[in-house]
Amino acid sequence: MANEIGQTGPTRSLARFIPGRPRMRSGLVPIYVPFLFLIPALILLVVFRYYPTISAIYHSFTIWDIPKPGEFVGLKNYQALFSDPIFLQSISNILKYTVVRTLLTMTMAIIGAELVYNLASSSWRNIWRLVFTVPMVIPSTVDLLIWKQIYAGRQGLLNEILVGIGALNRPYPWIGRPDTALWALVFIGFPAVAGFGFLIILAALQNLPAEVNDAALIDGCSRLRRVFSIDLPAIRGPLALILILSLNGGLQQFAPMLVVTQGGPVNSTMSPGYYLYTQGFTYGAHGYASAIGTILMLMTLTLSIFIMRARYRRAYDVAI
Amino acid sequence: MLKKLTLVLLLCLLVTALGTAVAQDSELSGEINVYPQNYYNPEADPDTAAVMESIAQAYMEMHPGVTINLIANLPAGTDYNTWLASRIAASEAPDIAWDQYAFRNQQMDNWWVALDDYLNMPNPYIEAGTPGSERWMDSLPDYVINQTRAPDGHLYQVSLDWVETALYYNVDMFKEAGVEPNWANWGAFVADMNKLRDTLGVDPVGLYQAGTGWSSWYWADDVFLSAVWHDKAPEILMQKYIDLQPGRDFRRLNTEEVAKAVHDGVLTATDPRMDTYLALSKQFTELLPVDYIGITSLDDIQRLFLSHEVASFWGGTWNNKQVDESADFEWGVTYLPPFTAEDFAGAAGVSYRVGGPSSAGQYGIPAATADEGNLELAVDFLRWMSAPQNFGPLAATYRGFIPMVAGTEGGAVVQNFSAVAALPERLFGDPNGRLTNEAGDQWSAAMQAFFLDQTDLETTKAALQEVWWNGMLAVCEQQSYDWCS
Amino acid sequence: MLRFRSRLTQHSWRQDWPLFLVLTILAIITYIPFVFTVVNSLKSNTQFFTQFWLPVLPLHFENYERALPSMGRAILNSFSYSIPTLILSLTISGLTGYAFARYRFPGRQILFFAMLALIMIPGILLVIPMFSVIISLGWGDTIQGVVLPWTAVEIVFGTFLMRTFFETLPQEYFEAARLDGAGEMTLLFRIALPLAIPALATVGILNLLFTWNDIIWPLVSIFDSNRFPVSIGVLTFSSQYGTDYGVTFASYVIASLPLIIIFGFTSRRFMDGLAGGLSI
Repeated sequence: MANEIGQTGPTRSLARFIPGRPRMRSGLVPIYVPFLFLIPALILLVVFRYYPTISAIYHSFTIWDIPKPGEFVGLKNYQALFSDPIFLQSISNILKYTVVRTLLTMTMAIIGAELVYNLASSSWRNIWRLVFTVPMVIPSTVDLLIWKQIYAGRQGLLNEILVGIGALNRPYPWIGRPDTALWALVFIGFPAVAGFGFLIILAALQNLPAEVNDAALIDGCSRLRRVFSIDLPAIRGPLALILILSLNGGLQQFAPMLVVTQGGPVNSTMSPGYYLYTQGFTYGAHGYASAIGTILMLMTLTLSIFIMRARYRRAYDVAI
Repeated sequence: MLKKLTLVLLLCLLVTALGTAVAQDSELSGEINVYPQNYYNPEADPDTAAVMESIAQAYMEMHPGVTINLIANLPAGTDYNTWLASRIAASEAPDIAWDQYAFRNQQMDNWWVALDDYLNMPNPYIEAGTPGSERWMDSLPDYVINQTRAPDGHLYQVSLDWVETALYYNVDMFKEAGVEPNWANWGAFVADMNKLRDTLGVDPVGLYQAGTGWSSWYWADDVFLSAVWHDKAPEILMQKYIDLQPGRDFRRLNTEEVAKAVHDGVLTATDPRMDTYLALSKQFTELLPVDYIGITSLDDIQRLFLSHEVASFWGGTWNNKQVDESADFEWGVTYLPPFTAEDFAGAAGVSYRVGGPSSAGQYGIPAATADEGNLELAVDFLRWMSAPQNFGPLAATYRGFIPMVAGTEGGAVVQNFSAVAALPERLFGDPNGRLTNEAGDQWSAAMQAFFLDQTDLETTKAALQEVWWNGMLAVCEQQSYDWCS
Repeated sequence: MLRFRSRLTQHSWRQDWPLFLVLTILAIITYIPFVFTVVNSLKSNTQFFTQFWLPVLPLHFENYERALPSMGRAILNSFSYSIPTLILSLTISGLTGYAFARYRFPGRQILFFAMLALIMIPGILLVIPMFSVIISLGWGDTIQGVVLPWTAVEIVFGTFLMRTFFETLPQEYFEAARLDGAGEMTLLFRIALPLAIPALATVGILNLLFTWNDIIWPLVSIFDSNRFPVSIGVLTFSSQYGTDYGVTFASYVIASLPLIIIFGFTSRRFMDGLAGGLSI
């Protein structure tokens, strides 16, 4: 089967990315054929995604007291936003959250996938894979509610364990202190192995040609060295994908803040997503909320483009 | 065949025309959607739902051209604000919709129809000679009406019921620690509560403070603020509102009164009274569970109480039923002690009840309903629903809120709360209703910073003053009262 | 089981046990919420209040009996929204992914990245504009009012996955078929789609996970509470009026069952779909 290593990795990835490389001589097919295939998707996306997005961006330049149409005010919302201490704090919170959360989930997904990949028995590999697939079906709200109880002061699992083994004298309010609350949110779902990232990495690893690994082991390469020098470089395409998805999800995060901390204490877990929600649905400032959403969108877009460029610049270097 | 069809068609047209003529004459017709919140929850509470259904059914029998659709209460944990806002945006909101008055009064005529005129008209469904039959408003106590008055002076909702709050306490624990559930003053209360902690290792009081939005700490905040500012009430209360409820010289301030007092400098957070307020607040937080900041729902607090983890919790009348059903210990209801001169100079020697119309029976009519021509019908059904013969049985079956309609009985719910209900009203309402919702959240955040020792006394006072001042400016921008400048 | 044991030789066990140990520890922590849910689904309220984390006897299986009627209805509702969404988004993702992978046409890259950019939009931002669209189409409280917006959300990542997959298919298959005179439709239906079944399974599972758990859109777009899906249905046993904790947890378990069963049957297909190497 096709895979990165087997096909001189970087160039093949580039082929997918760089415009103009023909996959097929286009002369053979009438020009409208691909567009016919795209029509259903384009209709749906225009009606349910692009139009609402443009509407939201437009409303970010208005004072929008629904149900009245927005009243155009130019950049006023944006000016207010950049002098709004809560918004600025929410940006710094979410950057911290996203970076650490992404590091955590990616590291754990790699560890999990490598552990399973290195099992000698293929039946057990399948069983362990299933073990870490099933928890994906727990509804995220349920998971959040249970994690909230894990962190609770009285009857909290974490505190009962820590007090039980004598690591703490008395329960600590993990989500009730500004210095720990954000990190408590980061560690929700620990060990964070079970998830889509784990599956992608495992699939990518299982896709590596066996000869490479065997050769490395024969050369006396330790398992751990092999992970860093062979496995991870070989799967950097999938890793970049997970990175983008994870940063993306992290920056937009608002459910943990809504369910677990409500942005407190003292706004230490306020995220732009939750602030958007609060401004819009609690304070009724839908124009202001749209401006927050637009900024958030721009942030995510910039970051994703940055990662893609970084990845393909490196790929170029390798290729040349 | 064709002839027959034409005939049927003609007949149909005739009937329709006749029907319309009759409707225009006197009879109401049309279809409305009603969201009675907790009073219609077929899944979790079929008994109350059955009563609600029979009320709608009887109305439809009275008015054959009318269809009433009842909308089931959204499950707890789903987001009513988002649900309602998107419906309002698309003119699809229920024709009679529940909302908390603090939220409703933030939107006012942008979303809702002012009901003042209707409240001044007779309610034909109330028996002649009883309150409300000549003027609908008379069937409801003046303090209920006026608590929900919007900053622009109008009434955008009819409030049919009331919640009272108090301290539910574990009788067994109190006995074991030798604590009597009544106290001469605040100092005695704090001492006894600490005794509970020291002897039993439990947290004395269950209460939580959320970073944004409502939390049961709001009640404590109302009480402490009222206790330290009570002497200023005569200066803050505005004459035009006193005239609306003659004889009530101590009552909850409305938004305009708070805003004006802030504007005139009568109410300043840098005042020495606020030292006392902050000291009381901080002292109280020491009686709470270690993660009182962190817990985000009253359900979790109630669970701690039922699990013997806290000796008491501040709850509402709606907690009565679950506590009654689930407690495996003897429980009772008591209340915060009076604040006396021993606690701080200038104390009035009383405590303040935290009750209010923030319950299930708060109904308003969206502006879109009027545009669609269903206003008369919606108002009429609301009149029918609020008549004592209908609302009485509804509230009695639900057992969570106290019906306020003249001629209804509180029943079992009020028993435990009659002592609390006799206390004076608080001067200050919840932080999110004093000026704006946003100011409420900022107030919570400033208090959290103080409780967590992030800010000292002076910084906190300055921060609170800023919240009040900006809140006042926001209210003025929206309302442009004549005193705003 | 016997087959597993025979394959698991002495040799592999000696090599694998440290990995097993770490995996077991990770699994135990991972499963805490899951086990907690099951344990509490068997408690009465009184038991729940006396013992929060550990199991208590007797077990109250009747919680399931009480949760079943409304959860059964909610599961049927969920299927009525999730299955059309699944079919539509598989079809559309397949078509779109195929077009992006196998044809070169003007605007191809721009269109593709314009689609991918949609992943970056905070969903909550679009609730009000999207609901207004639904209402102006007259689709409030309809199946298509739930399904089409969901499909629009899902086809973005689906297209991406399918495009990646179709690109891994060897060109020779298509060239050969084309030489035999096969048309574009034949290429798609006879060659590409049969090969794409594992990839479609992956898209399908991700699709189900999303539609099964989404709360906010069905809450807003469905008016009749009898037609709420499981994501909302699981919440109906808790109310301000008093929560029936055991029944609530039982309903969480029931709500997860259909997905666990589907996962169990399709897990291998799902992995095969990823085997092409999901990448950017």
